[in-house]
Amino acid sequence: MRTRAFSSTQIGAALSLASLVQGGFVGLLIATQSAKGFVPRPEPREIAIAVTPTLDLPLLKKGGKPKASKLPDMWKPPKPVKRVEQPVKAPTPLAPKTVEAIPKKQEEKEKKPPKPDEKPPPDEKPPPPDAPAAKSVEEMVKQMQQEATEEDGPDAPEEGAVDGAEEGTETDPLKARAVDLYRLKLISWFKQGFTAPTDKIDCSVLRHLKASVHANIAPDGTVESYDLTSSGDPVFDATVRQVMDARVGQKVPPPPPNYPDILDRVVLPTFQGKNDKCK
Amino acid sequence: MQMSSPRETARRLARRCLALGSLLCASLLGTAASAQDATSAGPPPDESVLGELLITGDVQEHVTPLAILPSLSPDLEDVIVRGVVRRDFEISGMFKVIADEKAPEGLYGFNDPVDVKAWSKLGAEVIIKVAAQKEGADTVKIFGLCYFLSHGREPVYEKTLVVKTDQVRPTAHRITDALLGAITGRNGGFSSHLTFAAKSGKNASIYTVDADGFNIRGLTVPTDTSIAPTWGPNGTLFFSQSRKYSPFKLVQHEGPGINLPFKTSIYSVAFSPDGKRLAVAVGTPVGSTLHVGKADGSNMQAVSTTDVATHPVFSPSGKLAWIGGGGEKVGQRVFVEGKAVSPPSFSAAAPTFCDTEDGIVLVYAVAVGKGQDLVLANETGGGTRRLTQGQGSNSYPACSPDGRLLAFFSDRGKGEEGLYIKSLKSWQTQKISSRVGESLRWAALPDSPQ
Repeated sequence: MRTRAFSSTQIGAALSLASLVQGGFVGLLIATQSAKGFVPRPEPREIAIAVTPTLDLPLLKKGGKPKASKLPDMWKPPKPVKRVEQPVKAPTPLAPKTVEAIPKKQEEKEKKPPKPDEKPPPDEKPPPPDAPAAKSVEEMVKQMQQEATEEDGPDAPEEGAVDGAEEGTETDPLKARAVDLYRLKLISWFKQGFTAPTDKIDCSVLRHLKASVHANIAPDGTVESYDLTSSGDPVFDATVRQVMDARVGQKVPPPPPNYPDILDRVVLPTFQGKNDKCK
Repeated sequence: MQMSSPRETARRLARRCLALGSLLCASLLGTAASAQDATSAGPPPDESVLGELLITGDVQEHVTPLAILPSLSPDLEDVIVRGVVRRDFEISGMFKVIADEKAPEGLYGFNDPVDVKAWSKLGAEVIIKVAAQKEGADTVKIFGLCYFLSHGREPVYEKTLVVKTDQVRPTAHRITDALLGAITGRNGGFSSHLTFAAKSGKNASIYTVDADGFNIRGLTVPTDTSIAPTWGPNGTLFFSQSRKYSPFKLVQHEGPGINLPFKTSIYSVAFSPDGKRLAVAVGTPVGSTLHVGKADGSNMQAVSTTDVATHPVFSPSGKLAWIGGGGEKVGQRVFVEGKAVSPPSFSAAAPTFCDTEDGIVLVYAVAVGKGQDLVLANETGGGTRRLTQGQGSNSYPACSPDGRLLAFFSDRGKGEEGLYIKSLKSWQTQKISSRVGESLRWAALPDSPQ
């Protein structure tokens, strides 16, 4: 047997609730119909009232003659302020490297030479030598001269280098440098295999020994022969002879190709006993 | 379709075998040093005969501090010229080039004076100023100035060149060479080029490269086998080439070549410095023979007596050196004017001459252990000294036109294979390219003043 989905109590409760809601609506509708009609709001009407103005600011005084009306002036841009500039021109890389090509200063161009009889104006009179301003200028000039002297070198001759020798004759700095480098190379070449005989000669004696060599060089750079000026010590001389004997028949390092004439037919190396151990 | 007879087939086969044999022979000759039997039985040879290792950084040698003035110009030409010149001076190894970061504050326009005092405080003895300015639509004006600080503010040397835009790099090298000439009395060798053979696919091809490792380019097609390049007169380039297993022929790059009276393979070639003599290694049934004659290929005379003779090279004074030997048992040695000069217990390869500041020297490679080392001797082979030791395998030396630099292939023992340059003045070594190859040769550009 199938059971009922809702009980009779539930159905009765639902019918009662529905009747109550619908009855409420019907009651409200009846109450609205039984009320009085809508009364509209009255239209606004103009009513005159008295107003007394009060101002906090003073008013313009009345009086005088009436003026013709005038438009304002047209706006004009302000005049540019002229800047003070130094009359210096930037050098151009295309300018020739001559003294004549150097541009003169504007002041020098415009400045006229004073006439002999013309007196300087009162305000251009030179200050007295003991004036403080003049002293500072003098000191500045002296300092600049000193700096220029330092840069040019003391008593520098017209030609030559600052680091040159008094007795030097080469004015070409490139050749002078090449000669210096080649001289070092020759010294190094002759020095190969030479060791001061510190084990055979006492240091006190050895450090004063010098043996001069007169080496004859063939045009192709070969050491042909040599003469030795004795140092006074036979042992030291023998050491030098041993080194020079090995050099005979060999070629000295060639001079730099750009200066092939700097190698003389005679080279004069001097062997010294003074070394790191015997200073 | 025409059928070939058995006799023709046999003849063709024989030709193929001969060609293959010549290729094999070329390979053996091209890598002469590898012929050394490194794994042969018996004790290893005494390496003391190779001479003492040259000590680097000799304190008695004065290294001149040099400054290259900075440039603030944004022009490409100016940047290239300054970069090339600076790199050249660094590669030369002759100077202590002051770093740009240390440059004193100041103006570095072309017309601004050199601040002698400020640079002196940095220790500079020589100042280099280089610049480039466009002159026209396709021309550039290149300046190079040199100042000795001991001589004051005025330059002691000035060089100006006006060149086409595409010649900026080579001209910068020429400026370097001229400046080096001003500073040392001996012009530099950067206005030059190198050539070598290297594998390109299965076969070897010919390459050229600038002295600073820039502008590397292949010149031959990979289908041909091209070996043993060398520079001829006026910048011409010659090499041996085999096409489709044919015998190696002497070929001139973009030129008519030289008619030689030989039908067998030509394995290597060399021209004398004056361009009047020619030496060629000609294949024989057992190896190769060296012939010397006129540069046009006439009047060729055999000068070698050993079974194998290859890799000829002339010294600046005209002496002829080559690699000669009698096979694996005897080993291969350097011959100068017909006399073996390299140590007999070491297989030698790739001799070259350097016209250095100290005179002409001979440099060659010797097989040591599993690799090769470079050895230096005087022009006639005496006074052997070692240039490399314990720095990997070093092979195929070639000297710069000014004799100051030595180029060679190396792996430096660290697998860093490439083309290296060693200064024969300071012994500094720098890598300029990652390419490796063989038969390296170095020569000045045809218009260079070397």
